[in-house]
Amino acid sequence: MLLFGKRNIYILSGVLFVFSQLLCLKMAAVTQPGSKQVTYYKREWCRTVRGMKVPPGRKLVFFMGSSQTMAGLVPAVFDKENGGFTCSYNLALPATRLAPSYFMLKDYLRNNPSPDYIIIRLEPGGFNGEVFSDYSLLGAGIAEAVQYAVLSRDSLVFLDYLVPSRLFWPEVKQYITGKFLRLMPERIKELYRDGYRKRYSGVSYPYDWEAAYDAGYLHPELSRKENMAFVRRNRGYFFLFELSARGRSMPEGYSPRRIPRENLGWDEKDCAFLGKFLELTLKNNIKLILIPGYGMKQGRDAGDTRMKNVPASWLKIRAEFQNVYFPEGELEYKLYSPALFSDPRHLNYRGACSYTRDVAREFRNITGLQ
Amino acid sequence: MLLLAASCVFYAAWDWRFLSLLFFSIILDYKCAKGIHTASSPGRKKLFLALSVTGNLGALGCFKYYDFFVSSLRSLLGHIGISFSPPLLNISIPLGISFYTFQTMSYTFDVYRGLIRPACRFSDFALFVSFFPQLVAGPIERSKHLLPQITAPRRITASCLGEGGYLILWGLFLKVVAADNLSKVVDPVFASSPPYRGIVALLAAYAFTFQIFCDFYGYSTIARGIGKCMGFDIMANFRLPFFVTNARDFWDRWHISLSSWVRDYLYFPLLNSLRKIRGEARVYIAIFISMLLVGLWHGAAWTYVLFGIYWGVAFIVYILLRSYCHNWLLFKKPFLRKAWFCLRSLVFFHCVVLSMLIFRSQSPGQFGGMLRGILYNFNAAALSDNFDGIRITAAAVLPVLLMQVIEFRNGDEYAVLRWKWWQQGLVYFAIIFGIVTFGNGGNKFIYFQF
Repeated sequence: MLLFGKRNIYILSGVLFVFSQLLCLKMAAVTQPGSKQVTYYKREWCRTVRGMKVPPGRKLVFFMGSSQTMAGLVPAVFDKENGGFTCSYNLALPATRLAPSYFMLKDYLRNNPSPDYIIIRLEPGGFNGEVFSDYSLLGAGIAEAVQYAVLSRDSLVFLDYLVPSRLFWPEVKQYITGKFLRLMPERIKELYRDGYRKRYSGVSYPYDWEAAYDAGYLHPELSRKENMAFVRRNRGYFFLFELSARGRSMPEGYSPRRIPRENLGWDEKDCAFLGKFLELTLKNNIKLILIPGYGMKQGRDAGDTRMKNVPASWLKIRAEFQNVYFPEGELEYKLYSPALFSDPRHLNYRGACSYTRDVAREFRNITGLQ
Repeated sequence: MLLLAASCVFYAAWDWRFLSLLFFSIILDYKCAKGIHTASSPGRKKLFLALSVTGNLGALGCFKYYDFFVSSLRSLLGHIGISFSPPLLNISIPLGISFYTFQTMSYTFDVYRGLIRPACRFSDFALFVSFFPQLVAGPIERSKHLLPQITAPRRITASCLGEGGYLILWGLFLKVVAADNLSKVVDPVFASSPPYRGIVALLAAYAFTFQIFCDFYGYSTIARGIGKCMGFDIMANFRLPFFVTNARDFWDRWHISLSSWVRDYLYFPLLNSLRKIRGEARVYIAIFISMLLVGLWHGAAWTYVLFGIYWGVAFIVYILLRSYCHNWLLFKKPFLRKAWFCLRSLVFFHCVVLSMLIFRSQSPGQFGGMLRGILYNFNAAALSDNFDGIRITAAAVLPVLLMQVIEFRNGDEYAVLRWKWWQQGLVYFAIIFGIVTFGNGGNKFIYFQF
């Protein structure tokens, strides 16, 4: 057995390590939530699409931002509202902020003509440490991961990126516990359901965890090709949180608990990617339209200041970047009733249609497209 | 010279200004030891020794203890209505000052006692003091042990590299997997304010006991591993400290380099100087003072004083009980003997946990609050609220305990390296997987502050 003498030990441990990482990747591919897969596939779409074709006479519009944008803007409704003058794609990513959007746009621009407009929901305080969450690293390139590590002054960010067992540990754990209970693949659905049941067991609204799995998530049992087709067909819009509340909407009279947030302004030291993102759009002659977010009507009072200081920050941005536009005059959160929400933070399809129509109106006002 | 330069760069990377303090200590003891060796009369020897002790303790006192004593005195005088406000220095404690000061002092003491000859070359002595693997957090090496290794030619063998690599990996595991993850359980509890729930305080005390063990043992193990890879044999600082049943055995196995330093350079001289006192009392006094110094060595705070007093009392209680209990419950059956040993170890482990609660508390008040919580507000039902803390503690502690049990059963620190190659391969894989997957770096070693 002593083929390589003492070195056998190191060879064996090395082989086992590599094998374990491959196994973790495999496990994660099976059990990772749809939201993570959405991130992967959207980023892959940006990287692989070549020579983007837009029907003549139409303007190419991208929606970028976080999960609220992803669940809030429906490309088909937007184009219809604009009388067919636009061809839009929803490239917003769940659980991430601007940094991955910057790299996505960069990837897209490498092989494609610039989009005419980018509609983006910018949030104050969105450029702190949480930018570099595990979602930011999904589908990222090495250079991108290095930049995250440097900017966050945390080399563990890069280690997270390099080592699948770190990045996907929750999924791996879920797989292993699932595997002990029953064999795959029948267990996959149950894993999801168990996960939802656990996650939402304490919420104050009735949650339909049984239906959530079938609600439009990307399905792990489908092939990569099928999932990519799904991304293309929806043009990036996902009913990601659809059916999370029973009956597809939050109960009437539901009042979300407000978490007071510090209303941070734009600090270029913290927001390293904001400047880069703006410069990239300016360089490629892309018009950037900043839009306010949305929230639930109930429980909102004058003390909620999340939007108070944003216009000043936006003005500051526009003073430097002439390609930046935003709705003049009334600039406020779009407020909708709980019936239009599928969970306390995200709109359901009906809500998304309403929000898309509101945004489309503002888009036309700004651009003058009729 | 290369190692000396590397050690200087290593230390200067933290704060180059304190390099001068390190060299002050090195030059002082180098010269004093030479002076002691060449002195013609005992008086001159004593003079050089006094110069070394004054210089070293003066620097230590100035940088580490001055602010503590002055502010304590000010507060004490304030209570009796006397206004006293001398300036505070407010300077950061130089990295590893307690470690290298004690190390250089031991060298001078050994030369004074005639146990060793002074180092011939300054660079050898400078490397002995500043040797980078153990400079900032020990072990506090003895000149008898390390200095000859520096002066003699070294041989780096495959076996050295194998053992060194194993020690480095295992030390890293202890630090980044066990200690750093345990800090997630410990830090929030000690940062919170009273009232403390008993179950939470107890869990934090358990977790901290293992955190400080893994942190410090991890550092020492990495230092030994690096040393081994370079052909040096650095002394072990821990030897299965949880498999003991009394205070004396504990301090024979916990922070060995400090406890043996205190024993050799403080306890024995104290015993000698207290010989006028009859009976056991002089032993108690010597032990108490020695343990008080062990406590104070860790830092300038009342909790460390309390820590020293606690262990001084524990030692004295052990000596008092030893004579009464030495033939108490001697079982003939091996199983019963082992069970009895396990039970005593478990009981004594809780004495260690209590001392660590004192050690980690921000103030004696916090310690009192936590102890009150444990005794009067235990609330075991709250266990379910702290499931995450229990899970993290168990997951971090179990592999460490498993390795300790393996070492204990085999009586060999390198027991794993005697296993079959595929078993070793599995252990290496588990350690590496643990480090890269659960490693939670970013926390400084706890003993850096001392």
